[in-house]
Amino acid sequence: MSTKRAMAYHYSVTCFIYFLLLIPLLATLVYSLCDQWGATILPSGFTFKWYIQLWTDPRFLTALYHSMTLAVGTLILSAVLIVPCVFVVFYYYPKLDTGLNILTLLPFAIPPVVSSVGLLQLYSDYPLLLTGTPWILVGCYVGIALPFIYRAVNNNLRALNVHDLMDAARLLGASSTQAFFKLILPNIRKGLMASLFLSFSFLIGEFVFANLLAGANFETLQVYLYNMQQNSSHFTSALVISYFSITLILTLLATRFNR
Amino acid sequence: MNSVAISHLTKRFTEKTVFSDINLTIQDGEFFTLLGPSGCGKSTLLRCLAGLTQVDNGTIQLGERDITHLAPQKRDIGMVFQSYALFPNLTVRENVAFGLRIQKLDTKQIKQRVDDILALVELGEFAERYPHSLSGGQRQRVALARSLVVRPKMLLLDEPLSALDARIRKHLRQQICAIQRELKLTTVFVTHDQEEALTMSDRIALMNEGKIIQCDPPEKLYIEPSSDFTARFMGQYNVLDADQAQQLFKESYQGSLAIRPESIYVFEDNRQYDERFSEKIAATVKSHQLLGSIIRYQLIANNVELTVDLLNRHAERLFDVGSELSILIDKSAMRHL
Amino acid sequence: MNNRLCRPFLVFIPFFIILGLFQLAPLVWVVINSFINNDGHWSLANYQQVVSSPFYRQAFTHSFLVSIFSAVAGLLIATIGCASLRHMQGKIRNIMIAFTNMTSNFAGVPLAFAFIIVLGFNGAITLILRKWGWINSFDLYGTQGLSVVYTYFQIPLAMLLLYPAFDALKVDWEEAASLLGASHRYYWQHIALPVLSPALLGTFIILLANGLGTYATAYTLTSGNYNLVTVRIANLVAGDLFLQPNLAAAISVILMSLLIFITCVNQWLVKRSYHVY
Ligand SMILES: Nc1ncnc2c1ncn2[C@@H]1O[C@H](COP(=O)(O)OP(=O)(O)OP(=O)(O)O)[C@@H](O)[C@H]1O
Ligand SMILES: [Mg+2]
Repeated sequence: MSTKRAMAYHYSVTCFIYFLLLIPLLATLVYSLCDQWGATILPSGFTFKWYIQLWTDPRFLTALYHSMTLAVGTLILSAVLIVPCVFVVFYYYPKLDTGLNILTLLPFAIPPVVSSVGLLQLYSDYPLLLTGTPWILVGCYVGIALPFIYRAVNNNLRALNVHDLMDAARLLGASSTQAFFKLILPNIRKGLMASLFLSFSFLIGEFVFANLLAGANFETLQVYLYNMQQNSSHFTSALVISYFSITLILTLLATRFNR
Repeated sequence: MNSVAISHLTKRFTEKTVFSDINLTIQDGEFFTLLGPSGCGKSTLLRCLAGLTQVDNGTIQLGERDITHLAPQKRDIGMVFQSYALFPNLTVRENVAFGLRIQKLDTKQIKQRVDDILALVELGEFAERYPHSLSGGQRQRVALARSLVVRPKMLLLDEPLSALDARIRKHLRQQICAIQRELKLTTVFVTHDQEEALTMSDRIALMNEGKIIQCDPPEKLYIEPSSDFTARFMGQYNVLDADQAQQLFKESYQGSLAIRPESIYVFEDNRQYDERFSEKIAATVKSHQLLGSIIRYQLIANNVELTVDLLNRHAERLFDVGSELSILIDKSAMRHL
Repeated sequence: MNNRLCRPFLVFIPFFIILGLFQLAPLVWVVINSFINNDGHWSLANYQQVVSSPFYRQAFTHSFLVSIFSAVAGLLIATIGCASLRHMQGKIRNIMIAFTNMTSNFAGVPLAFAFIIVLGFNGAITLILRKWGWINSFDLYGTQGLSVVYTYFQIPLAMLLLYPAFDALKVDWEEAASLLGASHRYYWQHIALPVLSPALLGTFIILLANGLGTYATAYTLTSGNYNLVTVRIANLVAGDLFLQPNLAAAISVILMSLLIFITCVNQWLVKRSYHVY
């Protein structure tokens, strides 16, 4: 294959695949911006009314608020719980790393539906009545964020010269705890932030736990989206696009932080 | 006959012309070396010969055939890459047999030829190993065997030794030369190491910034540099411009002058010097550097800095920094450029 | 000394409490209760019920059909895509990778909505295709439709997982192969694909697990009417009719066992394919 023909081939393949990936998004975008699009190939009537309707709906704003606080709260908790553990394993007990690694894969290996079976039975009764409250979601979401945070922190620690840094800090009179907060944490901040943003977009997109465990008692964005399916599809399109823009902005922020 | 004729060869990348109007002929069975500093276009020229890079202008002829626009598959050219490019999923034997399989030879014949070539590169016992378990030198020889086994009309070697340590390098150098002579294979060798080029080649093309500066047999290139680039690149020549030459010899000179470091001598009382030599010149030692069998001095003579190589014969003949001495220059070995 | 080594251990306690409560405990509950029948006794009744019921067998068949199809299709498209993406200029490539990253997030409920708009009964693409006479009826809410939607979300995930593996392919190899007379195709068959095979197999497993575990997309798209394993499980623990958590547990255990079995086969295949280190 000559170089020019090969390049033409590669460009068309890439463009085709990305076009395929874009179609549903583009269609949804157009749908959300037009008045009517039924049984015709082309839409008609450009309008913002669906967006206005959406962003003035108190139920939507509540769901957005729920999702946001839930995600932010979970991430703060996850960071506080996970980062010290990863560091301690890395610095004091490197042999435990394989174990921790397997643990981080657990949420991947067990489908959320399966966990929900157990969670619903375990926490629907006194003394641990958690279903229907955001607290059970917080607990589950820590597991979702775990692999991302673990990967990022572990990679960052590997790139740092942790042992020399800690030794130097201790020679200068700092305790291990002080050294961790003053030295290690600032150095892994960037990678940690990037992983938090990434987890954020995953948490915002979580539906299974949110629907099965909390449901209508604590409606998140995804559950709201699901419950709106009887509404006009133009309205749900505006909702999908709004949701997707939020994720997009966060992904962009995450890549910024990654640099 | 597998001679190569390159004429008016030009290669541009979008923003940069790598070389333009290169003309070269390489004889059948010749060991031809492309020598030059990093980035001068050696690899690009080699890849053009192999057909891995398209040329913008000019022609390449191999034997009777014009191969300028031929696909690499059809050129009958073997190439050894700097990175070896061994296939990691194949054993040494399968790597070497790769080209023969494509030619659809029968199994017995393939085995015979692979065994023969592995014996030639002294790798018989490694046939069933995977590339990742071989040392650098061994990988290099597998790569060589792989390109030789298909009996190409020409062999291209792109800095095949640069990733190896000095001892293995010397050994492989001899092995490559021996194999090349035995097979009488037209070979183009790329290197930026002038010593490698001098010891291995029948002829060397010295390149700089996409131009061929000089193309001669090694002895001639070393002894009769035709430009100050050659003089500087080949063995540490002292290149003096007209002013410096005048300052040094107190005579007027035109054009620049190249003096090899080993053609400068330290004056010894009990020796006779004939008219080949210049007058005695006083000099001061600025620094010295031990290079095994020779010692390389930086001297200042008449405010001109000179590099001088002396044989490392007696311990007592080591001049300390700052010591004063007299030097003589073999004028017959000087080159006017 | 002792104190110094023990104190760091304290940070594990809250971490393990959370992980234990919300990851391990439910798993343990599922495994144990799958062996307990309606009367509260140890028994295999739940498993017997699953295996003997055509309805549940159909759920497994559907789940595997859709997952295997989408994993294979996604892997194929992603492989072709990654091979071409590598030849793009640096800038374009980075934008495309970022975009892939983004679309890999586009799953579940919003994705299902988007597909209803595009490929639903009155969707724009459905209308175009029908007008051109390419399809008579496309059922987005059946096996066909789910396979397409699943493939859609598998592609970006597969590309993200595969793309780094393509870096292992050296340009030199193809050049060396071509000088030895190999065509582009021969090179792909004998060098590139074997070198990529561990990554391809690994990605396939992740895609398969991803497909089998997917619930939101199918649930939204078909309102739970299409018979899938995850839909069955969810219905048995949170449906409107009578709940049978222990039966759901048995189905879950079968699903996970199948996944583990496939992963083992896969590991064995990876071991048998070549390994560099
Ligand atoms: N694909 C390419 N696109 C653009 N420029 C290139 C490309 N390949 C090579 N060049 C440029 O062409 C010039 C010559 O490169 P080449 O690789 O031939 O040098 P070289 O003499 O082999 O150097 P070295 O000894 O370091 O291998 C360099 O300036 C390089 O930057
Ligand atoms: Mg080069």
